[in-house]
Amino acid sequence: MKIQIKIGLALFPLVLLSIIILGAWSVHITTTGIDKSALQHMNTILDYYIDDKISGMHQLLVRNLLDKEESFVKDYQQLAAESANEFKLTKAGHIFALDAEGKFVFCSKKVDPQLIESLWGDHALSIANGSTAKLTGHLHALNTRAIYAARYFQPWKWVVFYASSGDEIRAAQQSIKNAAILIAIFSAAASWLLLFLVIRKYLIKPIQSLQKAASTIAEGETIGDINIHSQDEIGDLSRNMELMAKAIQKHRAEQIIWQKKLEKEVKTLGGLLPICSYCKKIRDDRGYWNQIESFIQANSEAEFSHGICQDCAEKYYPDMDLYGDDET
Amino acid sequence: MKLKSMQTMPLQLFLITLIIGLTSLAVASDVKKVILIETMPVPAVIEHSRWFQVQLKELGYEKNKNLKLTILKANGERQLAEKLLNAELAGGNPDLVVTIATLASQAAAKLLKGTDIPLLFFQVSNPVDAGLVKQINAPTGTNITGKVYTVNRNAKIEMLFQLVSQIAVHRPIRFGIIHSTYPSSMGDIRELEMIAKRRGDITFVPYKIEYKKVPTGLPAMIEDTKKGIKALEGKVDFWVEPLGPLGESFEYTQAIMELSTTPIVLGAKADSVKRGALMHVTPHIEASGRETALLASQILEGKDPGTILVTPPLNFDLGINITTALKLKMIIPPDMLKLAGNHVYR
Repeated sequence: MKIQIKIGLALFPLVLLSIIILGAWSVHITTTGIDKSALQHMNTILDYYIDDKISGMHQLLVRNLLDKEESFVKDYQQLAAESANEFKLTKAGHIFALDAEGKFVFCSKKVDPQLIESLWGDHALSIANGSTAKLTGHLHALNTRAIYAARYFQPWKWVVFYASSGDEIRAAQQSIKNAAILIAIFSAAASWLLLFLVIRKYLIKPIQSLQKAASTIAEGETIGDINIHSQDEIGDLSRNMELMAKAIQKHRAEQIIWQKKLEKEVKTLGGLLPICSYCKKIRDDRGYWNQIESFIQANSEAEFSHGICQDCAEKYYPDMDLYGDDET
Repeated sequence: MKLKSMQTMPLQLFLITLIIGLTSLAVASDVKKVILIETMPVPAVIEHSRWFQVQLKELGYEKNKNLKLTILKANGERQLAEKLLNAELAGGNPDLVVTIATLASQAAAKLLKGTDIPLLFFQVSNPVDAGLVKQINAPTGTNITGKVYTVNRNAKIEMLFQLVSQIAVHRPIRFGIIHSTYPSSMGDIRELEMIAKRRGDITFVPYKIEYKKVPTGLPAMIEDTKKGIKALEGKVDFWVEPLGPLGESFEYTQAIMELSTTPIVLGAKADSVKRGALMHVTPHIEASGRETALLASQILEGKDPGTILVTPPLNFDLGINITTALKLKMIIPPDMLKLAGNHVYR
């Protein structure tokens, strides 16, 4: 198994695990904050709606002594109710109001007034009677789950609600979870790939280059520049290997020079030499018979100096005591 | 020794006299000579004149110190305005002539044409029709500039329509308007009729009477107005007061209220609404007077009036009579009620 595969396999679970842990933690923090954020959003919207629209209209009537003029009050209440549609609410969110007796007044969405009364009537009565405990929270009734905020506007005896479906909150939580999982998977894959590419570029590739260079050196060939210029340990190794290759090349060149020099200085005869059994001439490559001394002289560095051996002296110059053995 | 000093005394006296004379001349040149011409003694003109002078004082121009302010009263007569101004010009050129309302402005423009004496007009509802300038919201390039005294008529009519359309069932809604031949009144009617024609849901039923100089001619014009009321009664759904001196007078409002059962829905002044007209939308007199004084100050400091844009006032007043609205079973929309602010009357 190649080293890059080993590193990849080792890193992948680590990265995946880290991201999953981080993702799980984020999901936990986010989903637990959704309820709180939703309520805060509802309270903010509701406060603004009451202050700006409902109370604003009422104050205008009071300032102009019109708060007892039924036509004006009804018209301004109608305008205040219609202005609830101007707010950007959550998808399943709606602003509605019931009077202090729990009777339906208006709703920003088309709903069945009786359903609103049956679901929220008791809450409206409690809030109108001064209960602050029910000003915000969750409602579980008649297969309905809702999160809500409420305010009581005493001058008009309106209990104004901003409610949103609990399913919508859960859907939001689920969508955050799904998104977190997708992000974790994507992040893990991306991180792993990134690490893999980094390791490949800065570790595996240089090692492969060094390996190739070493093979080339082993085959006795030149390697040139290994092309690793990093200032790390691998870079140092590469530069040392280049120096080593150059030294080997240098020694080899010197060896060749010496060899040639030796070859030039020492000529040796080798192989099978055909020689006449009688006259001792030697046949050369061209088929000519040569005196043995001229043949050797021609094919080696040896030189001949002629003399007479003892046996030949006795044979050919028996009268001459060339070796002086007569004295004995 | 004594004799010698006696001999040099005339020279010393001459030098002292020369220094005093030059100093007086320098002081005199710092005193700005301004002529203010009021067209007629109607409340809007009087108030405009007052706030103009208040602002000038706040800007540091004090009468008999650095300001010689001459106020001419034309009593509603253009010829008188010309005569009075001519007499003043004979005594030397002023640094600035300021005119309030159309007739005085027209008179001054005629006399100052071709001179380099700056003319600053205000409380002129239609200076283009009056021949003072060629266009609004543009510099004149002449020695004349000023402030337009009108509120955007389209906006005004739209606000009025929001109210009257609540109770008037048929279309077009008919507005009776008895007006004089005073230039700004004629211009106003022309503009209103153009708007009515474009909209199609309203129409103006005018009744024209001859303009007579105010204040002396006002009773005669009110008599003519009464004839107009009788002539239009039953033929109109509501009354609208015209711009100009006739609409400005409280006698006009009183005459309609006494002789007609048809309500006045658009007054030409705050006083009409206080007396029972449904609403008025008019330029803010104090702001208009002060803005004009600021322009006057700039001109006195050397600014070329020809480079100053002729613009409508920046502020306006909306007044509403709630009692009338309730009587007519109208609901004043909250936006309008907010805009009216403290000008909501009962």
